[in-house]
Amino acid sequence: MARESLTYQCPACGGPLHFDAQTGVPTCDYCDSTFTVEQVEAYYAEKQAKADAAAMADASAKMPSNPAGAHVADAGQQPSSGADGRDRVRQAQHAGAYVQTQVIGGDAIAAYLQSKKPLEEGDANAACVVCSSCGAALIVSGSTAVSQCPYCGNNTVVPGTLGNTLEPDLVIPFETTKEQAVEALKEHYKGKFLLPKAFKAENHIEEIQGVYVPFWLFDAKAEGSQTFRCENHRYWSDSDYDYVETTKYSCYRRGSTRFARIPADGSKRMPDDMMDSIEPFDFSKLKPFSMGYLPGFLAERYDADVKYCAPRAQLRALNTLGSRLESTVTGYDTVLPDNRVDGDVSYTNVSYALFPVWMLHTKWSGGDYLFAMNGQTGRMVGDLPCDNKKMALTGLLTFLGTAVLGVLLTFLIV
Amino acid sequence: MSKVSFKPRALKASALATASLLLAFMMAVPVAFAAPEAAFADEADPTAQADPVLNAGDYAPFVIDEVGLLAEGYYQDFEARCETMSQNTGVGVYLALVDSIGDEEVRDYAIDYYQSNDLGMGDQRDGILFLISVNSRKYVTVTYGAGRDVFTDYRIDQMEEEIVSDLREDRFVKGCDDYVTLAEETVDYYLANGEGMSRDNDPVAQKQDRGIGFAISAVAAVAIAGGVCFGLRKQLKTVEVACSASNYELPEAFDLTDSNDKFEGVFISKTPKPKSDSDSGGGGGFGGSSGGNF
Repeated sequence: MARESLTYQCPACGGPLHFDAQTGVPTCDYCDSTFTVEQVEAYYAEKQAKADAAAMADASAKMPSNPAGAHVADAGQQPSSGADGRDRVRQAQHAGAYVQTQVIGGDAIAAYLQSKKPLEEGDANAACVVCSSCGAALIVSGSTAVSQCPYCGNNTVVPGTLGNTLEPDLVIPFETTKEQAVEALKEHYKGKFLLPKAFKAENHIEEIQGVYVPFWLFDAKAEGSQTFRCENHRYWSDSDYDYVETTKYSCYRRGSTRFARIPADGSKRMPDDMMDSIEPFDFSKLKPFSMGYLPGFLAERYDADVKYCAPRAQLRALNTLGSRLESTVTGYDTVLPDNRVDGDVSYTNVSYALFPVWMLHTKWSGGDYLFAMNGQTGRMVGDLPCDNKKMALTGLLTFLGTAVLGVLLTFLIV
Repeated sequence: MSKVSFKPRALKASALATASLLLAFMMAVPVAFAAPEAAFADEADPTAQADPVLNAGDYAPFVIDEVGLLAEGYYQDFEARCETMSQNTGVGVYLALVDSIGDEEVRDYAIDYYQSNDLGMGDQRDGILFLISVNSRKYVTVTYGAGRDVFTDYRIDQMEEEIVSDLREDRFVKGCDDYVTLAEETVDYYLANGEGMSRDNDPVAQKQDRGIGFAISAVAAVAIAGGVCFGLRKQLKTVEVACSASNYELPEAFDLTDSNDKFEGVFISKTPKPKSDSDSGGGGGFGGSSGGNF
C-alpha cells in the first residue's frame, strides 16, 4: 500500500475540509462547498488508486523483471481485498442491518477480533500523534492540527504509529458546534454557589476540543436468578400493649433479558464515570465509519481492548436483570435482595464505534478538572471545585441561625 | 494564577453576624435554666398550714418498725417529722418496716395493712404508706384519698427512685430518712402551690425538658447546616458511574422463567404502653406505685 500522504482537500478548490456538525457533511473552509461523506470517500478512493498505480509503476521501473509475477498479482489483489470487505460492512450497516459476527465456539468477542482488519497509515488518510506528557494516542486526519492534548492540556504532541488499531465499525457524527459547547460550559458554571469566582475567570474555555472517543458496543443476553426476603406487617393495640405481626417469605425469581449495544469506553485515560454520565447517545444516528467525519476533530486510539471492557458491560447487564427480577416480586410491604444476581452474560455481537465528545481539561489551584459534553445531545458533565472557606462560613451561619430558632421555640413550647 | 481573594468588608460583616448569633445563643442558655424556680417563689406562703381541724397525734404512730431496725433516736426523729407533715396537710404520712411477706404481692399486702391497721387521717382515711418488707426485700407506696392529691404517682416514682438505691445496699436507715425528707419537700411544694407535683409543673422536669430541647436544637442545627452544605456541594458534582443498562434493554426482551414464593413464618412482638399519671385528685381507691424488689 502506498505511503504517500494525502490530505482531505476540497475537490473544488483544494482548500482544507472540516466536518460541519450543524450540516452533518464535510465543508470546505475556503469556498464553503459541501459534499457528502460518500462523495469525498469516492473521490479520494479514486485518487488513492491512482497514487497506488503510480507508485507501483515507479517501483517496477526501478526493479528487474520478476518472472513469478508476484507484484502484479499483489497489485491486482490489493485494491480489492480490504476495501471490498469494509465496503460490504458499510453497506450492510448503512442499510440499518446488524453485521452479525460469526460465533466461533460461542465466543463472539474472539470471532469479532478475528474478522477485523487493522487501520493502516495512509490507507484511510489516518495518522497518529502521541501526547508527550500523558501518552494519549490520537488519530487525526491529515489536515487536522493538534494544538493541545484534550486529556492533560499538554501542548506538545509527537508523531506516533497506529500499531494494531482496528478500524472502527460505526461513528456518531458531531451534531453540536464548538460555539454551542462553549455556551454549554458557561451554563454549567451558572448557579453554583460554592464555585470559586476565580475558577470561571481563569478557565481557558475556548480551548475546548472535539474528540471522537472509542467505545465498544456489546449485544448481550443476561440470564440469572435472585432470592428476596419479603415481609408483610400488621399492627394493632389493646389497653396494655402495642402489637406488630410480621409474616416472612423467601421469594425466588429466575429470568433472562437481552440488550443491544451496551457501551463501554475503550479509553483507560477517559474516566469511565464521565463517559457514563454523558449517556445516552441516540443510536439511530449511528453511521458506518468513514474518515470523512474526522476532519477538524481528534479521535482517540483505544487502549482498553474489547476483553478489558466486557466486564463493565456484564456488570450493567446483570444489575438490570436484578432490577427486572425484583420488579416481579409484588404484594409485600418490604422486599430486600438476599444475595447478588447469580447469573451469566453471553455476548451475541460486538462492534467498535467512535462517539463525539467535546472536552476541556483545565488546571486550577493544583487540581485537574475535566469537562465533557455529549457531542450529539449537548449534555455537559464535569466536577467543579469547591470554595471550602465559603462552604464553612455558610455552614456556620446556618447552624447558628437554626440553633437560635430552636432555642426560641424551646422557650415557647416548654 | 491569582489567589482567591475575599472582600474585607464582606468578611467583616460576616464575622460580626456570626459573633452576634453566637452571643445570643450563649445568653439564652443560662436564662433558660435560671427562670423556673423563681416563678413559684411568691405565689403562696410556704409557712401556711392546713386548717388544724384534725389532731395528728390521734392518728399516731406514723412510723411502725416491726423488725427493730431503727435506733430510738432515729425512730423519734422520723415520728416527729411525719406527725408534723400529717398535721400540716391533714394527710397521714406513714412509714412501715415489716418482716417477710412470703410470696404475697407487696401492693396487696400494703393495702391490706393500711386498712387493717386503720391508717389514714379523718373520715376519709387520707394518707400515704411507704412499706418495706425487709426480709422479702420488697417495697411499695400506697396512697389513699387526699393522699393521692398531695403525693401524686408522678412524685412517688421520683421518690422511690432515690429511696430504692439505698435499700439495695441495705442502707435501711438512710432509705427511711430519704423517704421522710422527700415527703417533706413534697408537702412543702403542695402547701406552696396548692397542687401536687406533676410533669407539667415539676421545675426539675422543666429544666430537663429545656435541656432536651436545646440538645435537639443543636443536633437539628448541625443536621440542617450539614444538609445545606451537602446540597450546595452536590451541585458541583455531575459525574457518576452508570450501574444499569436499562436504556439498552430490548423491548419486551425480559422473560421470567421461574418463580417461587415460600412462606417462612409469623412473628409477633408487643411493646407495653407507658402508664399515665393517675393523679386525678379526690375520690376513693388506692393510688401509688406497683412496688418492686430491691
